[in-house]
Amino acid sequence: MAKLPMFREILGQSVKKPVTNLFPTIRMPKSITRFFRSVTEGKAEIVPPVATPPVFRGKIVYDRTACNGCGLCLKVCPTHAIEQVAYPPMTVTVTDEKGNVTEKLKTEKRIRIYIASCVFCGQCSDICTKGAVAMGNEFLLATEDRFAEEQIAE
Amino acid sequence: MTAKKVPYIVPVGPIHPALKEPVHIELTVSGEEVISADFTPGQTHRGIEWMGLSRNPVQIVHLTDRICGICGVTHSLAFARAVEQIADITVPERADYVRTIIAEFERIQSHLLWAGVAAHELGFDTLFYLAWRVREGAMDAIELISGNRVNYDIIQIGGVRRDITEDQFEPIRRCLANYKDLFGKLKMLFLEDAVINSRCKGAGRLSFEKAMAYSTVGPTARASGCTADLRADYPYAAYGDLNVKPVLPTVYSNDINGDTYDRIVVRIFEIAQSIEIIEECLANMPVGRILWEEKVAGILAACKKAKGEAVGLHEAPRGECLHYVAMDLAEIPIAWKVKASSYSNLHVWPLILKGAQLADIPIIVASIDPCLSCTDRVVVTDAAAGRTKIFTKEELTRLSYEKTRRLMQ
Repeated sequence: MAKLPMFREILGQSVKKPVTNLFPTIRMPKSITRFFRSVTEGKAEIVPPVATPPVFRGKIVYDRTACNGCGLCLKVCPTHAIEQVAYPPMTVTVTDEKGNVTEKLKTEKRIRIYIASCVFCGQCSDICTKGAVAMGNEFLLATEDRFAEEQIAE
Repeated sequence: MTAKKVPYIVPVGPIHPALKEPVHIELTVSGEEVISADFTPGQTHRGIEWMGLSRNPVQIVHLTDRICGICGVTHSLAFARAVEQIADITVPERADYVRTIIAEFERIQSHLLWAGVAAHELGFDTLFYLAWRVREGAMDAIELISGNRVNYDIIQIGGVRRDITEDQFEPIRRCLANYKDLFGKLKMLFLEDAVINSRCKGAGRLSFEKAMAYSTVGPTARASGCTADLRADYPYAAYGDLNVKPVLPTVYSNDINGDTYDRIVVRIFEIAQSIEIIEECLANMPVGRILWEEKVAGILAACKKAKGEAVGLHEAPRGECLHYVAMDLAEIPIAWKVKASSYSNLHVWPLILKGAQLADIPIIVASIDPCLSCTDRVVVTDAAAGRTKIFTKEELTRLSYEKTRRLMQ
């Protein structure tokens, strides 16, 4: 078999374990929808996907409480997927050093991220000084509605 | 029914979802033989350059990553080099080495991807799966360094965004050792195989003179004997410290034919060359910073003061990639033009398809490494009779498979 070197390779491979991770199941189920239903009911198990590397850039995780609305991330986002949102003024009570309690009107600035437009470059999480934006591990993001609740981080 | 009249005109393309650069090819055929061929590029205009003209360089550099799915670093590196020249930014040495390592890993995965696709077009699917399995090693190494498999996003204006840490050296070295072991096998499977030999030798021949006259780049030019390699001709990044010599088909055989087989030879041996380059880079990795300016605001301030125009070049797996950028004292560039490497190579299609058989079209079109999915939809129009026959990609591939079977009998 000097001219067909692949033959030996095939024979060798036929006894080897496949290198592919058989995600989500080892065998094709008769009905995919029924299979996933039984998974949610806890009757069947999914073969887990290959683990993501430590520096993986997945779906953005936004921490609203840490954000101060500075808008630096808007400046580096290649796809303009982030927009600044000014929430309507609300009354906050401020206590100064003397103990005087005053009421003030305050406008809150935060961001809104459209995951459907995101290209997962991770620049926003790199530039954020407050650590409010981070790249998560989630990568199964297929959707029919790009404005669905889980497709917008705010 | 009117009598059939030769020649027939066979339009190929232009749109296929898997295609990077959709192109429309029109072949005039007489029976099985191609008499002449013509093509129309520019079928899909995504407006990325236009998008760039409303964004600053830090944003554009990640936009460029999305121009091509396989060359994840090519465009961003070429663009970053252009902006760095205008804004007079010096890239730290360590960043240059990281850039080189990523670029060479990209070459390995791109050439293996191409080799697999070429095997598939010949009907040799076993080899296609094997090549793609082997390719995963390079993808894993890239994923380890940059975080993602396909869109690396590692280039920043003035450096790189991710460093290669000490603990990453070991897995990268292991990956390279694995490739070194596999290289002998790959060489044997691709270059000694009877099927590949009979289908690729003499197919799509491009002479040295024509390769020079048509300004081909990359492996297509080198397979015809041109010693054109940006890494050797105009060293950039860490290539100046390395001794990179253009790979010619003479590494395997004595004569240069410039055919499809020679293009396989060049690409297979460039994988070996890339492994050596990465090993050398890992051994001589300088210490220091990886970014010219840590803060993005600093980079943007430098861009604001920049005035002028520059050309950024990079030797992509397919050949020379060119980015032209002009800036005028503003964050946003006033001009940005991209010339991808495939564009230079496409022009030889009319030349190398001439005289070929219809069944050879898939492999010849693929041999210059565009996406050969242009063969997706072929319409044979008999101009005189006004009849149309639609060839699907499957049918055209089937023709190619049948030819392989005929040769094997």
